[in-house]
Amino acid sequence: MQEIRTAIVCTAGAAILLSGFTAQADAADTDTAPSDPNPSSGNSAGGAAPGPAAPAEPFAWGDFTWLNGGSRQHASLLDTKYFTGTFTADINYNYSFNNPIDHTNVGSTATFREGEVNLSFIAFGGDFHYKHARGRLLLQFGTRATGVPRNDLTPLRGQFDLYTALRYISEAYAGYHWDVWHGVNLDVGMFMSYVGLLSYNNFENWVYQPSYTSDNTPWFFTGFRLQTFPSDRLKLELWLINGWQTYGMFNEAPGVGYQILWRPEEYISVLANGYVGFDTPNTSTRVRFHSDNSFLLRYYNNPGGRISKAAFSITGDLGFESGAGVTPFGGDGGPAQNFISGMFYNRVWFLNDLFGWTVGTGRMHNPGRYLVLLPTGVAATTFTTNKGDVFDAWDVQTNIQYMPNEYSTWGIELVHREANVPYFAGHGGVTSPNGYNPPIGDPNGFVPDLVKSETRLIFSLLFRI
Amino acid sequence: MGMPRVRFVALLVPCSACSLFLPARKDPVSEAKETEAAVCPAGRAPEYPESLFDARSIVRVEEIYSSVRTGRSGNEARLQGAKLRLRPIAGMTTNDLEALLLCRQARRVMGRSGEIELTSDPYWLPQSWLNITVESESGNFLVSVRGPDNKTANEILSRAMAFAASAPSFGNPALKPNG
Repeated sequence: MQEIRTAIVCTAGAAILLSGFTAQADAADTDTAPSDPNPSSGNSAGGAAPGPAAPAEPFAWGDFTWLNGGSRQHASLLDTKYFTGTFTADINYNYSFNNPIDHTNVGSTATFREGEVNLSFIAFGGDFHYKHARGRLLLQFGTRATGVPRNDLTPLRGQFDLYTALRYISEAYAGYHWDVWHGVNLDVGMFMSYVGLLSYNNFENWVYQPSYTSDNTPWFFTGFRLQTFPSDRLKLELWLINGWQTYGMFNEAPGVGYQILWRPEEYISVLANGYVGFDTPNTSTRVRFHSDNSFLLRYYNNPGGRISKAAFSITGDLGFESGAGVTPFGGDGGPAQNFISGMFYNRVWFLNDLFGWTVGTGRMHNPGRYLVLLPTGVAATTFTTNKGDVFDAWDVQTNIQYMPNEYSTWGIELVHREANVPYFAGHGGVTSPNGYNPPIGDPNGFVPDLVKSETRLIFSLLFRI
Repeated sequence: MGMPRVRFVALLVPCSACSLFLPARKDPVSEAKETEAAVCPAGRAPEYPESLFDARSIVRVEEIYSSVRTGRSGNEARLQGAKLRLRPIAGMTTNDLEALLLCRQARRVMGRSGEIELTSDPYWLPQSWLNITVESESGNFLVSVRGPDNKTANEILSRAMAFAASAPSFGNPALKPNG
């Protein structure tokens, strides 16, 4: 294991040095290149003015605002020469028909509190860019700042409290851009993962509550990301990261992964992600593999019509862990530990995209429960994640979204979820007999009320610029 | 305890319908009417400088992108339209030029007579309202023409390129008054 880490670190170091030299040469070229003293010379002679034959930036040739997990905005309002800013306010009222007395939701990274108006995700920041250098900082506040970091156990290793240090940052990196092919970017820091299709920012999703395939897979990575665009329709991306949605590292070797994003036509998007790493605490010989694949198709497009467009997305994931007493699909080495899941969404837009109606469903099969979101409160100590523990779950949902402009989304969503074991918050909640933490409540001896199903209504109002 | 919360939720459903009373999006003709009233001379076309619609006045055409944060993949460039770098026109300020181009767009959208017609006209499109702004840079006018969506933006860029390449002059058949 130590040798693997040494080899990876040396390779990464060499790559960074090489990219640094390339960047220096690139910058020198830019600085010393003589400017054209007479840029209009060709045109004044009656020839074509210098300019582009077609948009050169990747994916700029088409309208991809329909994608599930992609921004529907055509332009950024806070786009300047050196800084592109963004702000998101994501507010919800999440009502469970189980009426948990502690107003706590279980098993979601989109909704955390129940029966209350909740500030789920307040984000602001943006991208700094000067010549080819770039950097991003996106701060996050709201319940996501506690609800998402809790699923990462790497801060429990060692000191300096990474939870406190990083919970209010959703993305932060430094990077560099090269004008090679249709662009090459190297970013180092914390960035979004794209495993599971849907976006961390719910403003970009067709639904508010993601299905398990998205909710139970990583939202972010910490490490290196190399994005390459060999054509304006293809992105190839490589990752060298601390782990599977982690601030730190579980064992001694980083994880590696890739992404392939291909959009051959405006109405098709194909996405594939892969990951290999060692993500079990204190178990360095157990390897994790994960494959995530999505296909999106806009099968109807009639701008200006009553039904303005319609599209679907389908995502399938296959993953497993192997070693240290578990096997991918069962056998002599131990019980099966895998993740097989899928989700499907269909969306129809009405009245020139003023309204969107989505229906969706998904399921997950996860023996070993290594990707199950651990219930909160006292339930965190009673819900087991041992080898061979089976977890099967499915969901179905529908919503109506009203989008008066590109910056505001109003939503009503009905979601029903079921699991093969008690998992969701029942009426008794997961905190204490009266639903309060100490000193008002006493969790000693309390048995959390987990149930096998839940039905929730989610009202949401999202603003993003 | 359950009943008041059910009532609260029941109230939220009709309250969500409040969103229907938010202001609706403007159509191109409404934009044109407002703009014509604000920047055009009453009842007639403005007087355009001779060189304004001569393609030889174009120094360069560039794409306009907006960097949009999207999904988990990072920023994506969204095409907005085209930026036309024009040679200076004697006696004309950026405000003057912006008003002229906006007025012409408004009158073309409204179907007014007496406006100059260009082949591959990048300064207006039927059924659309384009965002036109003019800045000054290094002695040139920078005319930015942006569309509301990708299709329009591509059309603007395509027209701007074709118009610049045509390099017509007054008297060229490609350029004639309508109506």
